[in-house]
Amino acid sequence: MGTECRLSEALGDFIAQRSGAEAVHVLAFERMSGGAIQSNYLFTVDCRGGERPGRLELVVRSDAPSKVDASMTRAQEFAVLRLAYEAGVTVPEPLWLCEDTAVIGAAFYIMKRVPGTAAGRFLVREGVAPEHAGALTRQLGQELARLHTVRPPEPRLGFLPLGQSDRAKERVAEYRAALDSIPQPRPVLEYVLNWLEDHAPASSDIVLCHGDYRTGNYMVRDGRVTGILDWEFASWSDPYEDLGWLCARSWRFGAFDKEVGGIGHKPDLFDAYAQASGRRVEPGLVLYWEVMAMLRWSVIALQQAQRHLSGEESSLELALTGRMLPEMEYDMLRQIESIGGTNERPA
Amino acid sequence: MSDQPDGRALLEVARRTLLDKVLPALPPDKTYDVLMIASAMAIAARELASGAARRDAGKEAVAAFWRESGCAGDAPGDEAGLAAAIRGRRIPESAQAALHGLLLTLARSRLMLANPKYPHD
Repeated sequence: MGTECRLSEALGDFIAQRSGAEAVHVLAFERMSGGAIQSNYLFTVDCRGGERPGRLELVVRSDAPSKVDASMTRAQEFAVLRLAYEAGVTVPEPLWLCEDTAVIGAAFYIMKRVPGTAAGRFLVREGVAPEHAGALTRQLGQELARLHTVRPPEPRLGFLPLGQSDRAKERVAEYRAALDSIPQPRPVLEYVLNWLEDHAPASSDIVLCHGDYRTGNYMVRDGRVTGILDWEFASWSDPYEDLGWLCARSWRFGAFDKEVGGIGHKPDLFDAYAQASGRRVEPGLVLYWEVMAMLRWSVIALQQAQRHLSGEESSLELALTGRMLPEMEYDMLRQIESIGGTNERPA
Repeated sequence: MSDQPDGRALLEVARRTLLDKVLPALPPDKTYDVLMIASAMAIAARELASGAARRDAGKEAVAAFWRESGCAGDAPGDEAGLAAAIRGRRIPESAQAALHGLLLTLARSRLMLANPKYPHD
């Protein structure tokens, strides 16, 4: 019996046990490509009886055997997903968590599969009909507002550090420290960090943030978000951190005139977010957090290139990511200029 | 003078062959890899053509900034020295606008090597 076959049987038995089904018939099982940190599988079963009778289209998400510094365990990610689901955010419904590594060799959880595509470039170029773009942009604002209703303290998210209330300054310190472990000098990033420090706003609030909320990380079908994915960077943070990440130039996939992820325009996003949250969006703060987003992406890109350079993982994709730095650096300098002035400290 | 065609010309013709002849014959799941290879070859070709000149111009721009801002001190004239001076907040307010201009020049020059099609002025 092949490994895949053993895995699918073990998963079928697990579902039978958790759902109380009399029998679970495996219809399809397939490993999904990509993901150095996680292994994901498409899994389709037919349950006889139990709490979820009938055909179930699922995704199984587990730790990959070669474990890199995972930012979150599967159990933690499951807890975040559960809370987002309960808050009314459109996410794949999380069904069952298994922390017993004896079942398939690693911890995993099972969620419902959502239809659509998440491919950023495709969505920006042709995957969203022009007549749907406005509504989709508004939905992105509503989803985020729902997520941001989750606030500390939340006992089920006790593993998320609460940190300082001054999130912007905390991030600056984090990214400076990250830059220290990169051998290449990056004067532009140092300059931008100073600017971010000097212009840091006090946190407007501390809420549950997704941490990677951008085009490419939500599934879309027929112009509607069907599921927000990739929750492993969730944290307690300033809600503007998510808004800035979503709008940053780096995540527009070439459609620079559509400031919201290459899909739509800020007035739609801000208006929908404000209506759903009861909090007005301050556009200047979003611009600030976009610079923070580009700085963060720059640091991540340098770290990825470093993995190639150090010989830890030879990869053309990682190598080329390192050569994207000038794009981010140029955009950050221009954005700082347009926000107002150079690095002279505010009065 | 190097033998002809030189490294840059070889990279360029190799890249065209890859894109025009090899890519159409490959299954779609290889497209992304081939485009990445073509992109790496294009960067390397541009670097062979103008990388050294751009590096020299960059060094000169950094040195000119130190001279003109009057805050050279003992900071070395390379990018590591510049980065350290910025982190250490050793560049006075009066030179911040010039610093911004210098950094924009350096970023633009790198962009011309890495991705000249990226929108910039």
